Amino acid sequence: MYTITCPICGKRNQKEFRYGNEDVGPMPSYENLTPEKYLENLYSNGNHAGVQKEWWCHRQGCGTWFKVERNTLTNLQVKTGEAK
Amino acid sequence: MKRLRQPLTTLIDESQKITFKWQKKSFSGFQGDTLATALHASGVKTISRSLKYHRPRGLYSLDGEGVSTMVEVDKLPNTRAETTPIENGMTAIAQNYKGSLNFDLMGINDKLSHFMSAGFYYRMFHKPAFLWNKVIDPIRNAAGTGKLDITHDYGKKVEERYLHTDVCVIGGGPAGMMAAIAAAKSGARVILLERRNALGGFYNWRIAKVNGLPAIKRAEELANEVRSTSNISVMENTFVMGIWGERQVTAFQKGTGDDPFFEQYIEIMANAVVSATGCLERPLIFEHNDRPGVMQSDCAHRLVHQYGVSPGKQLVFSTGDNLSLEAALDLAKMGVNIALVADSRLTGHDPKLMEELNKRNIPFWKNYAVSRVWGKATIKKARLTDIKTLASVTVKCDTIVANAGRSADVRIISTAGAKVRYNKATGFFIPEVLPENIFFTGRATGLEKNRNIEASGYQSGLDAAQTSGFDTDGFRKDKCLEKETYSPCLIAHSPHIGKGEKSFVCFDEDATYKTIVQGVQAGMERPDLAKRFVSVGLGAGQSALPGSNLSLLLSEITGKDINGFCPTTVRPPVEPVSLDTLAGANHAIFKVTPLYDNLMKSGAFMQRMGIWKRAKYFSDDKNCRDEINNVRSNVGITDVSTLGKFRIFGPDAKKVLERIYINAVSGFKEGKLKYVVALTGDGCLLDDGVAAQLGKNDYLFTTSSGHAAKVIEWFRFHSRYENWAYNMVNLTDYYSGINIAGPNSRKVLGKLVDIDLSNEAFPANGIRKAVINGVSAWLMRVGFVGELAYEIHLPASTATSLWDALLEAGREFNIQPFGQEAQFTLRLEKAHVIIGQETESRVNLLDVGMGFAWARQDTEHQKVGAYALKVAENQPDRLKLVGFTVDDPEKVPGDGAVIVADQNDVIGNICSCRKSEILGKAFGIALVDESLSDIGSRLEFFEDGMDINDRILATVCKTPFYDPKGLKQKA
Amino acid sequence: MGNKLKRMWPENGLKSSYDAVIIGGGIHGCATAYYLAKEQGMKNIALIERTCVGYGGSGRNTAIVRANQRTQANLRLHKEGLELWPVLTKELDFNLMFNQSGHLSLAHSESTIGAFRINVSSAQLSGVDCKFIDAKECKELVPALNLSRDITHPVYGGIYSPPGGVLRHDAVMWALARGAAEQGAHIHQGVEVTGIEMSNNKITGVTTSHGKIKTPNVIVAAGGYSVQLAEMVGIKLPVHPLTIQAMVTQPLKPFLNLALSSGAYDIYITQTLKGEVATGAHMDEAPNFTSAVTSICLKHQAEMLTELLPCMKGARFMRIWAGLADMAPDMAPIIFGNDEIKGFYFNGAWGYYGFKSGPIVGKYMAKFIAEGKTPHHLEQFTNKRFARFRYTGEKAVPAEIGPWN
Repeated sequence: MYTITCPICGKRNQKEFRYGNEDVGPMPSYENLTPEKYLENLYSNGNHAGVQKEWWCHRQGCGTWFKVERNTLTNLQVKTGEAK
Repeated sequence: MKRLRQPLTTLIDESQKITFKWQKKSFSGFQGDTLATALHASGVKTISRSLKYHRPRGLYSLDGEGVSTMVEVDKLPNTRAETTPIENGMTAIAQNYKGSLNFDLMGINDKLSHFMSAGFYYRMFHKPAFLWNKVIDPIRNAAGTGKLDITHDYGKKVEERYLHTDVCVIGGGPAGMMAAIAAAKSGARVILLERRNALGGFYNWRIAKVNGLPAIKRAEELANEVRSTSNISVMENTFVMGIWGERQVTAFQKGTGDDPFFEQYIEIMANAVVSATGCLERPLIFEHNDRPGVMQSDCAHRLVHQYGVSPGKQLVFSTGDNLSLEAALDLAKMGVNIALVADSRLTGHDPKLMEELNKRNIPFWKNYAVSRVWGKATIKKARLTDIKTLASVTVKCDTIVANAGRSADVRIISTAGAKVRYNKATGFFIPEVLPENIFFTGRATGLEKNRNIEASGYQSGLDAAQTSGFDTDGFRKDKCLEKETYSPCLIAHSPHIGKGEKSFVCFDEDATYKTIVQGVQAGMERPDLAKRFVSVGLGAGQSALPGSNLSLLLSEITGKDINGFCPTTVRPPVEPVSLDTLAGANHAIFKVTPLYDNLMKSGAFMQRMGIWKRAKYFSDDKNCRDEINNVRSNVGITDVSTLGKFRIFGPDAKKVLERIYINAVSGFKEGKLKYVVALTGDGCLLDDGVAAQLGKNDYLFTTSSGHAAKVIEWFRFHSRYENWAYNMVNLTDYYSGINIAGPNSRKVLGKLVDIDLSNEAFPANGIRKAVINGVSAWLMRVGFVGELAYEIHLPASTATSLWDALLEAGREFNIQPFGQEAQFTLRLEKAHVIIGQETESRVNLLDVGMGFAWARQDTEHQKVGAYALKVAENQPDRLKLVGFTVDDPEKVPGDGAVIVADQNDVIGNICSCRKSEILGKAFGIALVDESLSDIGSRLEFFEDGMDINDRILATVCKTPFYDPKGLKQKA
Repeated sequence: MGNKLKRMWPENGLKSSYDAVIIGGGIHGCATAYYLAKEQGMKNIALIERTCVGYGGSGRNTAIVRANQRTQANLRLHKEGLELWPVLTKELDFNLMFNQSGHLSLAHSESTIGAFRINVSSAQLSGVDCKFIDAKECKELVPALNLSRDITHPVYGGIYSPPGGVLRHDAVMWALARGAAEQGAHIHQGVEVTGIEMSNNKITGVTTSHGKIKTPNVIVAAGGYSVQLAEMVGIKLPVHPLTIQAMVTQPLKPFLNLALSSGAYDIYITQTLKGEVATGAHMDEAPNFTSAVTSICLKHQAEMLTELLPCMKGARFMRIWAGLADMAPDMAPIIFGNDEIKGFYFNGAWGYYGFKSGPIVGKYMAKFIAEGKTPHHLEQFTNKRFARFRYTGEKAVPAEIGPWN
C-alpha cells in the first residue's frame, strides 16, 4: 500500500502512518465481558479477504487517528473516513 | 581491427583512441565503445565461463540481459560489459574460471553434464552421510560468479533523487517518445526514462525508411522534439528496477562524464505510468546455442551499424522475424559475409526484404532453423534443419545470428502486478489486465509497422495525461492504425535437437531442454516448480531470456494448453542494482540532549539507548563505584533530558488520564506528584512516570525515555471512539532535565533557587515552580535512586548553563556527574522497576508487585489493562518479581542468568543484578515461578559458561535493599 | 543418477473419504503427512494444497535453522528439530543441503547481552552448543564484519551457536512431499478447501473445489490462510498475516560462512551454496494477502547491510520477494486440537520462524492426531493462553496496539 489519504493532510506515503487494527467498535463494558470477547476487540483483526474497515494514525504528520477502508487483496485504500 | 563505417548510425569516434586492460593485457578501442564492443573488435570472443558447466560464453545481446558477459571492472564484480563504456586506464578481468579463461579447469563439468540431470544435487552427495560436509566447500568455491574483496572499499559517489510527476514513461524509443510528447502537449509533467545513453530505441541503428527518413533520422527528429519540450524531463542511462505499489517507479542512473555521481538512485511517484519497453529477442534453442559466436540479431545489427565491428567472417542467420532480415541486408551492404539466411517461419516474410536478399544472391531458406553448431571457443560449422521434413544441411561458418522471433519485454510491467498471457496472434506474452493508470504500448504489444508503433505511443501518452485530469480531446488524432499482419515464429525450439542436452534455455543457470524434460518427468511441470527444480530464470537475467521459452517448452513437452503455463512472476529489481547505490549516503540518525557537550567535557562514555545517545558512565570503572558512593553519601547530577514530558489540558483531560493510567487519577493535591503507570491491554507495563495538576483541567506528566512519541498515539488511540475535548502538547524536546541527588543536594540547589527548599515547605513527591539560575523551571522531588533528590525541568536552551552552574555551586562538596550505569544500581538497591528490564510479556502489574497502583474499584473509566488484571489475578503458577541476595560474596551473576529447578528446567531469570558496596555482596531482582517467590526461598542460578551442574545460590529476601523506610528520600 | 526421472509424487484422484485431511502443502503440512503415514500408521490421508507444494512461506524463506530461542520449552523443541535434519536426509534419501555452518546473532550493546543471556543460559542448560563471544571473535567468524564504532549499531559481541545453519528449503519441501506420498499419503495440488463440515462439535468432512471429502480429522496448516480456515469452524484467533520480504544478491564467491543476524539492525544474512547472499527482515504492518514487495525495504536492507558488511557495497541485489508471516501477539505459534471440536487440529501462527520447526512439529502433530491428546512439547502453544494472558514469553516486549507494535 503506497499511499494513504489522511483526512487532514491528504495523500501521503504509507511510511508516515501507523496501523491500528480493524475497526470493530469501542471496547464493550468490562462488566460481564468474557475474555474471548475482550481479546477479539483487543487484537481485532478479521483477516478479511477483501475490504476491511480499520484505523490508521498519521504518526509522522498530524498525529490524527482516522478510519480507512482498505482492500486486503490489493492492499490499496478504498475510502477514507472521518478523522477522530 | 579496422572498423566499418555507417556514418548515419555510428556511435564511435575513431579520432579518440582509448586503451584499457583485459585479463592483464592491453587493448584499445574508441570513444563510444563499450567494453563488449571493444573486446569483440579486438577478436576476444570468450568473456566468461558459465555457472554450472563452465562453458565459454561471449557476446549475445548488446543490452546484456544475462550473466554471460558480466566481468569485474576496476575491482567491481558482476559489471555488464555491454553497458560499461571503456575509459582510459580501465582494468577488466573475467570471472568464474580456474586456470585460464580459455582453458578453464572447471570445464570438466561440461563433460559430466550427462550426469548432472535436473535436480541432480538432491540425489547426490548425501550418501554416505559424511560425504556432504566434505563437498560443501568445493561446491561453494565453484559457485558464484563475482568475487568480493572484503578489504576493499567499493563505495562510490552516489546520489538520490525523489521526484513526483504526472506521467512517467519507461522507454525512450519511438513509442515512448511519442507518449511523452503527447502527454506533455496536453499539459502533463513527464519524466521519460531510457536505459541506453540516447533516445531512439530500435530506430537508432536502422536506416530503413520511417516517414520518409532513415530510422535514425526519424529518431533524432523525435528526440529533438522531446528535448525542446520544457515539461519533459529526460533521464538516460537509467535502468528501471520496477513499478512498486501505486505507481512508484524506482531506477538507478549511471553517471557519465560530467555527472557528479557514479550512480544515482531515483524514486518517482507518478500519477500514471506508460510502459514502452519494446521487445527482446526470443532465444532460439538448439544444440550448443550458447557458444561464443552465437548472437542475437540486434546485437549483430548494432555491432556493425553503431560500432563498425563485424560480428565474424562468415555469418549464418537463423531467425524468425522481419527485423532480422533487415539486419542481414544491412550487414551485407556493409560488406559482411552472409552465407545464408534461414527463417523459421513458413510465411509472413517481408516481400521487399526477400527481394533484396535475392538481388544480393544471399540464399534464403524458409522454414529452416539451425539445430546444432560445432566448435567450442570458435564456431566451425552449423547444421540447419528443415522444420517440416527434418532434412539437414551443414554449413561452414564462424558466427550464428539466431532468434526465434521477438518477445514483448514485459519484465517491468510484470513488477506492477500485470499478469501476462499468451497471445496467439502475435506469439507474445502480453499483459491481460493492467493495474489502474498503467499503460502498455508500442512494439511490445506486437505492432510491427513503425507508424502504428508511434501512434500507439501517442495515444497512451494522452490516456496517461488524462488520468491527471488534463484535457486530451483536442489532441486525439483520428488517424487509423494501419493493418498489421502478424507472422510470429511459432517454434518452441529448433527441430532435430535430440534430447537437447546442450540446448540451453537459461544461460545464467545452465538449464537445458533436457533438464526441463526431466523436470516434467519428475512431476514439476508447473512453471513455479519447474523454475526452481530445473533452475531456470533464477539468475541475474531473471526471465529476460528464458521467460517465454520456459512456458512454451512446458506446454510443448506436456502437450497441455499454453494458458496453463503463464510465465512466473518477475521480481524486482529487473536490473541488478548495487547496494552502494541503494544505500546512498549514510543516514544514521541519533539524538543527543542539549547537555551533550557538558557530559563529554565531564568525561562521559556515551551509549546508544534507542534513538538517544546517553551517558553511561564517567570513568573507566564499569562498576561506577565512585559515582554510586558519591550519590549515596554526597551529591551527584545526571542528565534526564530524554524523559518524555507532556502537558495535557481540556475539560475531558482527566477522563483520558483515567483511561490510560491504571492508578486512580482523581484526588490530585496541589503541589503533589502522583506516580502513574500505564498498562497494555494484556495488563503488562507499558510506561510509567509522574503526573501533576498545574491548574484547572491542566496537567503535566512524564514518561520513560524514548516513549514520548508513542504516548501521544496511545492516548489518542484509546480515546478514538469518544468525543472528548482535550489537547496534548509534547514538551519532550522543549524541556531539558537535570536530576541532582544525594544528601547534599538541597544545599547545592539552595544556592541557585528562589524558593524555600526545606522539607516542610517542599516535602517528598512535591512539585514546585521556581526560578533557578535566572530561569523559570519545574522542580520535582522524585525518589528513583532512593536519596534526597530534585528533578529540574527547564527550557532546553538554558540547560547547559544550569549544568555548569550546578557544578560550580557544588564544587565545595565535590559534586560529580553520574551516568546511566550508576543510576541502574542505585535504583536497584531500592528495587525500583525499569520498564523493559523487569517487565516483559509474561508479567503484569500484579506479578511485579505493583498492585498498589491499581485502582481496582474503578468501573467507570474502562482503564486500559484493568480487565486483564482481573482475569489473571488469582491464577497460580505465574512468574513473580522477587528480590534476592547471592550467598557467595565473590559471585556476581549477570542480568539474564536463569533460575533452575530439577532436570535443568528453567523457571525464571534474573532481571537485574549488581554488586552492592553497602551489602557487600551481589543482589538483585528476578522473575521466578510463584512456588519460589516467598521470602527465604532458595534460588539456584545458572549462567553461560558455567559447568552444567554448577549453580550460584541465592536467597529471596525483602525489598528494598537500602533504606527500607525511605527516610533518605523523604529527608 | 539416471536420465529419465520418476514423478516426485503421483497425481491421484480425490477420494470421497480419508482418515485425515491436512489443509496446506507447506513444510508443516507435508511433514505432518509424512509422519502420520510413516510413524502413526495412518496412510489413508490426504494433503490438500490450493496452488502447489511449497508455494507459500515454505518456499520463500531463507531456511536458517537454529536452537537459541528465549524460552526453554521452545528451545527443547527446536533442539530436537535441529537434530532431525541429518536423520531426515537419510530417511527421505534426499539431499536437503543441510549446511551446518553455525549461527551468529550479534549484540550491539551491553544490555542486549543481558537480554540474550536468558537464551544462551537456557540453551547451554538444555544441551545446545551456544555461547557468548566478543566483538573480536565475531570478526574472526565473519571477516567481512565492520567493527567500527561509527555505525548506527556498533558490534559489541554476539551469541554463537555452531549447530545452527541453513538448508535448501525447496529440497526439504519436495523430499517431505515425496516421502509422504511414498508412505501412502495422497497429495492433491490445485485443490481449494471451501468449507469444513461438522456435526455435534465433531468434524465430519471438508468441501473442496473438486468435490466433498468425508473425514473425521482435519488439520489446518495453511500459513497465512490458516485463520480463515479456523473461522470456518467458528474459531477466532488473534493472528495477523503480515507481509515479510527477503532478497538475494547475484552469486558471489564465498565470503560469509555462517548464518548471521542482528536484532538492532533487524536483518539476517546467509550466503547460499550457489553464492547468493540471501537477506531479509521487514514486516509490513498492515495485514494483507498481496505478498507485495516494497522499494523501501530493498533500500533499507542495503543501508543496513552495507553498514555491517561494508564490502557488500560491491554486491548487487537481483531479486526481492515476499511471503506471509502469520503473527500472533507473543511471537509464538498457535497449536491446539481435538478439544471443543473433536477432530479439528490447528497448527499455525508460525510467523517467520516456521521453517526450522517444520519436521519436528510435524512429527509431534502426527502423534497428536493419532492419540488425540496434546504432546508435552506442544502444550505451551495452546490458543487458550491468550484468554488467560499467559503468553509464551518468546517475545519479551509486550504487544501494544497489535502484535507488530
